[in-house]
Amino acid sequence: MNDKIRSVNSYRTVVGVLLLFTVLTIFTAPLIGTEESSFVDLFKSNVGLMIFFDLRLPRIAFAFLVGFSLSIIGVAFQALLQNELATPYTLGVASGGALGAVIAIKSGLALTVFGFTTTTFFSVAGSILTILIIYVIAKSRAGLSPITLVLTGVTISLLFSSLILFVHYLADFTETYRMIRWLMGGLQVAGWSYSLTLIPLVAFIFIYLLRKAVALNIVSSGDEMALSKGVDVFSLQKGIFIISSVLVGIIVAFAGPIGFIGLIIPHLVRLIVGADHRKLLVAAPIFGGSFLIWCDTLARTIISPAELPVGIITAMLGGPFFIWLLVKQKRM
Amino acid sequence: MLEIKNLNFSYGKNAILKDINFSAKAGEFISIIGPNGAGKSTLIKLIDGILHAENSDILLDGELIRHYSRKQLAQKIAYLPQESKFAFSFTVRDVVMMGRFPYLKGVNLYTAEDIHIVKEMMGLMEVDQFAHRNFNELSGGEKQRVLIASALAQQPRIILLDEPTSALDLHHQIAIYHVLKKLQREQNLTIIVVTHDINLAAQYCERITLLGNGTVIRDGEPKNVLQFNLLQETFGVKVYIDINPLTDSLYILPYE
Repeated sequence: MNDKIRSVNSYRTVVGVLLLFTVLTIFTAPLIGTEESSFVDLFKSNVGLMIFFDLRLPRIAFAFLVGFSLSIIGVAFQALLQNELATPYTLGVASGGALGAVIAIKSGLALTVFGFTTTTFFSVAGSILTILIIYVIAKSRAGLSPITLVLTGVTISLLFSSLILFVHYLADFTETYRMIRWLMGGLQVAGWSYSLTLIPLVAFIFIYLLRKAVALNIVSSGDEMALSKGVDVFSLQKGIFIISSVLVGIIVAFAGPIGFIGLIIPHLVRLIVGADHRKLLVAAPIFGGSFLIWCDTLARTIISPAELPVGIITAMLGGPFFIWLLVKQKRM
Repeated sequence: MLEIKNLNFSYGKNAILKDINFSAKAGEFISIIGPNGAGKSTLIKLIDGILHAENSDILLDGELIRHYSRKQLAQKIAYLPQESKFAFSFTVRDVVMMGRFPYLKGVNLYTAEDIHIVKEMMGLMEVDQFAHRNFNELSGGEKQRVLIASALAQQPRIILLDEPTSALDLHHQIAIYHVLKKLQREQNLTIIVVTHDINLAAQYCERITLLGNGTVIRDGEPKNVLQFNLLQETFGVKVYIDINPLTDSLYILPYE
C-alpha cells in the first residue's frame, strides 16, 4: 500500500513538473527569436505585441497541439499493436496522408468546406485509406500480428513515397516547389484557425483514450489475453484506428509530415511513469507538446534569420533513436 | 454448464474441428490430449469466444456464448494462452489487477472489493511476495502462477489452460497441477487443460478427452482413454502402459 501511495505521489510530481515545464515553455519559447526581445521590450511597441500575439503565440499553441496529438496517438498505436515501434509514421498512415495532400496540390482543386481545404480532405482520405489497407491485409491472415503490421506499414510507406515521386514527376515547377516545401513540414501559422480546428478533435480523442486506459493496458499483453479478460479488442481497434487516422490526416495537411514524435515521447515517458496508460496518456502528450515547441524554436533560430523545417529536426533526433530502439528490441 | 453440439471449425479450407460434441459439468477437471494439429488449442479458444465458428452451438449455462458480451463472458470463463508476453513492463500486481477488468464500470478506478480480491488471489497463488516486480522478468513458473492469479481474479466458473506446464521443470509442473486440484476442490471450479503431458493428466484429472484429426476419439476416465490401441492409432507410436503404485494412476511410456 505504501508503495502505491509513493508511486501515485511520484506520478503527481512528474505531471506537476511537466505542467510547469509546459507553462515555462509557453512563456519563454515565444521570446526566443529573430527580433530579440524581453517581455518588457515586447510589450512596449505595437509591433512587438503583434509579433507575440499574432505570430509567436499561435505558432506555439499549434506546435503544442501537434506534439500532443502525435504523442497520444503513438501511445495508443503502440498499445494496440503491442510494439513500441508502431506510430502513424512507421505504419505508413502519414505517408498516405502526404500522398493525398500531394495529389490535392497537383490537382489544383481549391474547395473549402467548413474551413477545411482540399489538401486537408485528401490528406484525411489518404490516412484512412492507409489504415484500411493495413487492417485488411493484416486481418486476412491469422489476426493482427504486430510484425505483419509494422512490415505492412513500411511497405506501404515505400509504395506511397514512390507514388509521391510520380506525382512530382507530373507536376510543374511551382507545384513541385509547393509540394517539397510542404513535405518538409512546418508549424508556421498565422492566427488561430488551425489550433481552433484541432482543439475539439484532440479533446475528443484525449477523453476517449483516457476512458479506455485500462483496456489499453490489457491489450498490450496480446489480443487473446485481452479478449479473455473481457476487452472488446476489435471495437477498440476500430475506434482508435478511425479517430486517429482522421487526426493524423488533419495534422499532416496542416503541418506536413512531422515524424518520430510519436516514437520518442511515449518511450521516454514510459521510462519515467511506467507502462500504465492511465498515467502515460496524461504525461506523454503534455511532454510531447512542449517537446515539439522546443524543436520548433530550434528550427526557427538555428539558421536564423532563415528557418529550418521542423520535420528535419525531429527526424534528425528520431532516426538514430528509432535504430537504437530496434537494436534494443532485437536483443531482448 | 458447458455444452458443445456438432461443432465444426475450419481455417479457410482446412477443417480443424469436425462435428465435436463435448460438455463439462461444474467442478470437473478435464484434460484435452492429442497429437499436434489435432485442434486442442482451437477448441478451447472457441469455448472462450476468441475464435468464432459459424453456426456452432457452444452453450454456457444454456445460453449461446456469442450472445454474451466480452465482459460477461470474462466473468464466467478465464483463459490462459500458451504464451503471454507483455510488450511493456507491468508489475505482478498490475497483471493480477487486469483480472478485475470484467467488473470495471465506466471510469478506470478499481473498488476496495477489487483490491481485496486481487490481494486474496495473489496470496492463494503465493505471488504476493513479488507483487512489485516486473512481470516480464519472472521465471516461467512464477509467470504461470501470476497468470493463474489474474485468471482467478476474474472469479470465473471455468478456467481454460493451454499447455500451462510445457515450459516448466518437474517441480513447477507438479506445483501447477497441485494448485489446480486445490481450486477444483475448494472452489468447485471447472478446469480444462490442454496438455501434452499425458502422465500428469492421468494423475490429476478425472476425465481425459482424446482428440485426433479434429474429432473426439474417446472421452472418459483415464483408464478408458489410455488404451494402447487407441494411443497407437492416434499418435502413431507404440506405448507401454502401467500403473504407478504410489499414486494408483496410469502412466505411459512411448516407444518405437
